[in-house]
Amino acid sequence: MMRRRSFLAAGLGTGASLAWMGTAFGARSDPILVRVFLRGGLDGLNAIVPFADDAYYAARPTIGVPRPKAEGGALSLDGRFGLHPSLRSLVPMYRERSLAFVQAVGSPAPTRSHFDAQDHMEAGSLTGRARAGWLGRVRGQLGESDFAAVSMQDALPLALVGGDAIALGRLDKFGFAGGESVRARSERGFAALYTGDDGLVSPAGRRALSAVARVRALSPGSYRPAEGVDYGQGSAATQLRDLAMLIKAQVGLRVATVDVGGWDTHTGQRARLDRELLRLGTALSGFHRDLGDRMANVLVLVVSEFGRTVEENGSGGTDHGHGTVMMMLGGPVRGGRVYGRWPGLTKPQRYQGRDLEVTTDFRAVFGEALEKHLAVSKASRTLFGEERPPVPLGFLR
Amino acid sequence: MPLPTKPLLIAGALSLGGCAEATAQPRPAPSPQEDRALVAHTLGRFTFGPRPGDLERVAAMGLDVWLEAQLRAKSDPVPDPFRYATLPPLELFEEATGQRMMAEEGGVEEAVPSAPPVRKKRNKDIRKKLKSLNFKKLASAYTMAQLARQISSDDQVVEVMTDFWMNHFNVFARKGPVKFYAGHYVETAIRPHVLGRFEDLVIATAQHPAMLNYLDNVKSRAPLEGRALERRRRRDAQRMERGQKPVRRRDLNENYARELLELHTVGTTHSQADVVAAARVLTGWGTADIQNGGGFAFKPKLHDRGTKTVLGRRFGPGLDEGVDMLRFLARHPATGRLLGDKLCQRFVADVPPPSCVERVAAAHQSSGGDIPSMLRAVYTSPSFRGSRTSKLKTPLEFLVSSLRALDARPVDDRLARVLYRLGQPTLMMPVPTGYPDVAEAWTGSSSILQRMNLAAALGRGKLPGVELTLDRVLPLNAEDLVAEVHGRVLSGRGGPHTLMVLRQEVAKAKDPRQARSVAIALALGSPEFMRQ
Repeated sequence: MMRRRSFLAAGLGTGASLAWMGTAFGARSDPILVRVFLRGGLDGLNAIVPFADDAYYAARPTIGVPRPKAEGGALSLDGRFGLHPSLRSLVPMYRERSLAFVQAVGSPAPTRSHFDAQDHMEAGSLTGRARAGWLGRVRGQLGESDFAAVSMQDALPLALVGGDAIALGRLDKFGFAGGESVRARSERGFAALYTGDDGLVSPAGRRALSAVARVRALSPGSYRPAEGVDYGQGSAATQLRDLAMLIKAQVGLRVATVDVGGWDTHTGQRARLDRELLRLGTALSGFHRDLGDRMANVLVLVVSEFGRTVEENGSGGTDHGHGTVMMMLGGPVRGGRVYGRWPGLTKPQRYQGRDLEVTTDFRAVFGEALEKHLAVSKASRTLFGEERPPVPLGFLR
Repeated sequence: MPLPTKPLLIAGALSLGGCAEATAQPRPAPSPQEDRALVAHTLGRFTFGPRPGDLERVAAMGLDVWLEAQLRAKSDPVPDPFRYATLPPLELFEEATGQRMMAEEGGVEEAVPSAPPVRKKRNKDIRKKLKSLNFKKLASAYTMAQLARQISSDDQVVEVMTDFWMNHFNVFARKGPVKFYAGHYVETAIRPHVLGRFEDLVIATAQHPAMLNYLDNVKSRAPLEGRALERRRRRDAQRMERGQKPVRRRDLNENYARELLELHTVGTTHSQADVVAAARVLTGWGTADIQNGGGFAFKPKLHDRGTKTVLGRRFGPGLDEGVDMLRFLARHPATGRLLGDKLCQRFVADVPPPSCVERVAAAHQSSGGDIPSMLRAVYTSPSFRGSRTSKLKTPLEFLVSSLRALDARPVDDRLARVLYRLGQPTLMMPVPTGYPDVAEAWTGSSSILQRMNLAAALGRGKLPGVELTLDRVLPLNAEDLVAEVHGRVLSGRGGPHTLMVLRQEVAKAKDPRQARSVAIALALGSPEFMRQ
């Protein structure tokens, strides 16, 4: 466990302007929620393997993950479920109880369309006509900072629509294009331009320039994670590393979105999941270790729009399904458990005879995260409207 | 019903130099300064922005004359390099890849339709082949099919209205089959009608595979009722007992009917019962097998043969009754108000002034939904003239107006990526409401930052996908650079603060090239240029 002073030193590279860091938008105790969306439909059954259920092996003769102790076998979590071996970097977090899973979670809505299902999960609503996201809608309760709601992608996902949010993309590229002097000239010129007050463009311009300056002051290009931390390769690694830097810099960040593609494994699933899960696991555990004791108020939710068919198809893969897995990571999590009621995998137990049933509504998880972690009022309302909200899982301390 | 001709006068004939409804007195002749300002304002709203020389040309011609000519124009044809993206799926595939779609036995030319199993296989093969097309490339192509004309066409009101109706009748190109129809949709369902009758737009979009797929009407069929429903339930129960999955049967899908009522026509003036009834009217409105072109096809087997009541009007079974319903909805007074809201929001202010909305609604009723009549109502409304610089440009408007101001010429599809980065990729809005047209949607930090980057790039004279020769617009040896930029790029609308900053920054430049670069970047990034 690193001491606080060395955290700051490690995180800021050139040590430029610590002055504004102190003007904290929110002390360290303010909670942070990170939503990691695995787009394409994560095969929850191969990620968190129900190795105790024989029906799993009957349905997946070639792509099933072997039982624990066998070669390439699942890493047992609780005797019923095991981790895909590529996720081995998550084991320490599970053992120290800062990581939990929900099996058979998802949307009650009967859709297998990426578009519709992602829509529901981003909006936190099943009506399919939402114009705002589950995080955007509560943005007003998250404080004044320009960085309260950030997307680590170039564009804002639906989850953040509805409130003030900023799409940062890669931090070392955020800002003006061009070489050093060109950028400096651009910034100075526009800064002068926006000192006026037309009430619309100038304020927006000033805020944009301020965001650029603040990100640059972090020296994102020369950020070094904590000792011994390796985020690995891939999109999740890049986004989570940038996010860790932002969190350490205490810019008033409260919610962040990370998006990772490549999970739509209709074909060649074994090799693809081997690779993607390895990258994801490495990035998540790197993030956890890099933040160290700051993880005390960080909650990471890893979600996906739906799961995949119980039975493998003819191309070594699986097709769009229903129930899937969610991961919850961070200090506030009552970890070391797999939550949710396991519905079974025999044909009559499946959703429409083909997919894993959904026994936990994803909105229950989101609702608990909003209410207990972010302390947002009326969270149930924004997610469930007039419906009666289900009993919370109780996955947060 | 034939289009009435009288309403041209009632809606406010322009040549009489005044609005017949608002005042009996003739408008006082505007001073030359005001005239030019009004021209700049009108071009700022009714076009994608003036090109060098446009202001003078239109001022000389007279705004009223100019607008009338614009309202009579038709869409330019799609420029050649992007034409393939506007073809129907089979031809699109062939043009894009140079391969004939059906080389195998049987082929598309079979006179006798195949028995179901073979037909299904062929459809699957065709879909697989279509999926092999590079979607990004295709999306860039149909984006350019619009962008190229938005930048270069002289028929600017056609282009502005094409963008308006594309948004009003939004489809999301990423959703399933829509991707292969998106370009064709704009070309054949939207463009021919943008300055025609509103009901023709409603019918054309309702019958286009892009819309039918986007809002799921292809999945809709008459719901089972009574004994047929009981039989089905019994059968499903038996299958479940045997451990078999229940037979999946499509049911009534209300998606399209709901948006048709709420977003396309009457707005909130309807009930859930109306939605269900309208959905039943539209059952059977689907598409032909893709191997037969994949166009609109009415399927009697899926159609609900009952009588339905929508907003108090009864409709019987059949395709024609459905078309009648669409006409009824298109001409409904509530539709006039909805269109008034949207047109006045687009052309006047984010919060549409009620007087403007009323005028458009009245024009809609008296003209039977003639779009030019509604546009004239906007143009002649006092609130239009009083609304200078009240709107913020959308990313698309910002991009196109910058390129027009600098007389840039579109060259290749790399320009599509620029539009994507600005945050408004063509037909990529998942929500049926389309892209918003209010300032608060586009003033986020990332949004403004991208605009600044674009302005800076254009100042340097380089943007992917366009031919840009700054010397054509602002020669390096200009006498007074700031005055030139103010006149040509800002249409004379620069405020004192912006002009002061321009002078200040230009003075710091180390040579004329840098001076010009700075002047253009700051002019395009100025509040005056970002506003409309």
